[in-house]
Amino acid sequence: MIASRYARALFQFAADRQAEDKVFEDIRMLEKIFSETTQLKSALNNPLLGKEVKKQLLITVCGGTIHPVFERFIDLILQNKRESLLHNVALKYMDFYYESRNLAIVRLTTALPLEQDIEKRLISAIKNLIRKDLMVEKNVEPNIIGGFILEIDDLRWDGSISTQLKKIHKKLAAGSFVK
Amino acid sequence: MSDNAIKVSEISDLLKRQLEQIDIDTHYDEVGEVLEVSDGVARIYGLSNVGSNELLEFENGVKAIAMNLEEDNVGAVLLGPTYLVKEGFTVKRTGRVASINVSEEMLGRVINPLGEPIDGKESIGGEFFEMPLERKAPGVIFRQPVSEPLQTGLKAIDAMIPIGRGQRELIIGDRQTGKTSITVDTIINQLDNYNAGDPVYCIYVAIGQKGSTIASLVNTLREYGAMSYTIVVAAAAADPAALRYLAPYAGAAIGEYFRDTGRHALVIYDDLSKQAVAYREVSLILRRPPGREAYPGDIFYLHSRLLERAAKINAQQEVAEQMNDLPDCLKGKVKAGGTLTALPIIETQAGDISAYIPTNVISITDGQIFLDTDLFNEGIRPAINVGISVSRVGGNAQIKPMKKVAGTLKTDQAQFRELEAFTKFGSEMDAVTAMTIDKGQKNTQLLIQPLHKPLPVEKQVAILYCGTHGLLANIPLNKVKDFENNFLTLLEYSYKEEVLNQIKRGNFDDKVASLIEEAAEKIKTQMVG
Repeated sequence: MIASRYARALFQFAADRQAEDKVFEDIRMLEKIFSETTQLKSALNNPLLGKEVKKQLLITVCGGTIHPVFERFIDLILQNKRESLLHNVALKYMDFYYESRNLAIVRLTTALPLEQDIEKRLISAIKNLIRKDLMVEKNVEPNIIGGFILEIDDLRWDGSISTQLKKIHKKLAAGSFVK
Repeated sequence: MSDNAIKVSEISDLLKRQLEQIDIDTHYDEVGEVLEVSDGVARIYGLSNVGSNELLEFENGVKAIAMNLEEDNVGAVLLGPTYLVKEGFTVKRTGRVASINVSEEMLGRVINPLGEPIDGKESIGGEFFEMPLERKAPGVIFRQPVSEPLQTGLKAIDAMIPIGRGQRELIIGDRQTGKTSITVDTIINQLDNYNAGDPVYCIYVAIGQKGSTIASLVNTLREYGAMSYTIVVAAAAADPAALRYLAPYAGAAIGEYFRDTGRHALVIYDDLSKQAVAYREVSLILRRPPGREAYPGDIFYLHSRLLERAAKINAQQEVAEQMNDLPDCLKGKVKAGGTLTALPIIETQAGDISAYIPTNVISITDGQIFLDTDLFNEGIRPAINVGISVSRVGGNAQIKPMKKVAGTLKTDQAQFRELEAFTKFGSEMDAVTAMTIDKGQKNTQLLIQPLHKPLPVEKQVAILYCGTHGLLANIPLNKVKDFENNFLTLLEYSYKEEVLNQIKRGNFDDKVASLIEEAAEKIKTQMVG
């Protein structure tokens, strides 16, 4: 609840100054670090670290320089001692941003890099389906063996070989067929 | 090497057949991501369409229930160990509300609130019915007043605080006053019904108890042959709070399966104070605002919606079939006239029944059986305090002979208790008072009953007749037990058809009464002479 209020305020503040895109870049970087490591969160939750240290930490994490709008926001959130909510704020800001730009996030995971032709066809098919602009992230993950995993916002279509094998393993291990 | 040994089940043909049956079709999942996990609660980002109380599944198979739907995250309580779930895990919706797969083969088993066996035996088979844990209670049209008795086999209860099928009767008292024993005796007493082919299925829900306590209870039930019609749902003290909070709902869901298929079921919640504590724990971790005694605001609703599900279903088939909120698996299988009786247990602290949870549950149920530490220590067991125990509907659910014989027993005993308190000061008393006291003391003796020895209702009526009609006047107080034993043995051998079977059929005329008096006279002369 509180996180969405901060996120909404930041988004509107940035929109007034035509800085949504710049702030979005910073936030995206921040969110990435948040989801990759837990250390940033524990550092922010640490009461022994002062505001200045935390601010420096956040700026470093975002690549050394941040947009003045976002800097103000960080000041505010540190002043209100809400730094523990920063991850939620970041996620929520990204939601607001995507919504305003009519964007959908598409994550495509394959075992091998996709051929250009297939990829194009796939993306235009999705585009027609959901009628939104797409932001495509491609991952190559050999662990999935074959097939692909397609994620569009909250939806996931898991057609990977590894998942199918897992399903088979689960069924066989449950022993529901063996009597 | 043993890993390489080929099992019979691994023959290629068999494996191939199994593979053919596996559904590997892929469909869309709605997913979210775990932001943080702590103390059995996960906060999840995403899952924007998730429903309240929906079952979620983490990528490693651990399940959770979505309880808090907030603007920027979803709070879900874990149904497995917290350490198995890590930040960054993906969670997917299952599209199902939390439910339990009920099967007739669960009878005789010990299961957890998710329906998985925990007694170390083979997996549960049979036809499964997916019963939702949370389900709206049947509406007024689909109910009927309670009219059939549920015999507990305890003289004190069946005579003074009778329980009917479909009733909710609270059992309340301090620790170590015999609350659980009453319910165990009630389960054991249903053996006759089971043998007669008209079973009352029993569901014993153990909430937050020690594993050893549950094991010894199951042993007792098994010893008396009561497990054949009993299911034990256990969420032990070491289980996650979410499971302890859900256990009674699982018990109710199983009971509803029997109720809606036209049969009789008895569900025992042992105990609801521990469930309230588990729910408080979950609520506080979910950061819901605390209220009185730090319980959340909906603690009353927690118990009221659970206990409302005990019901006697309308006997008209056409009406019963229209029942509200029927799960899909039961459509077309509903039979009229089933009942679900609930015996919730509440543990009080130092006899304080005006605490928060006890008053709540007292006001929800159709009466309470109050157990008293002092009575228990005096050797009056079951230690029922007659003065403040009531059954608000049970009177309609007594067999006629019992009503006739024990109609005034409750008020008589309550008056006797009061009178006895006065005479303790040692002043002289008149003959009438002395007689009332003598009769009261003997009736108290008659109502004492050993553990796990439930008595069939016809024997209860016969022996209580002796007490209420003053046939024990010449028997010394310490011989009342002997009299009872001899009298019941005599009835069993010489008066079975004329007395016991008559009462069983609901006939209690002057002839039966005079035969009882005759038998009592025989025993008296035998004992005195």
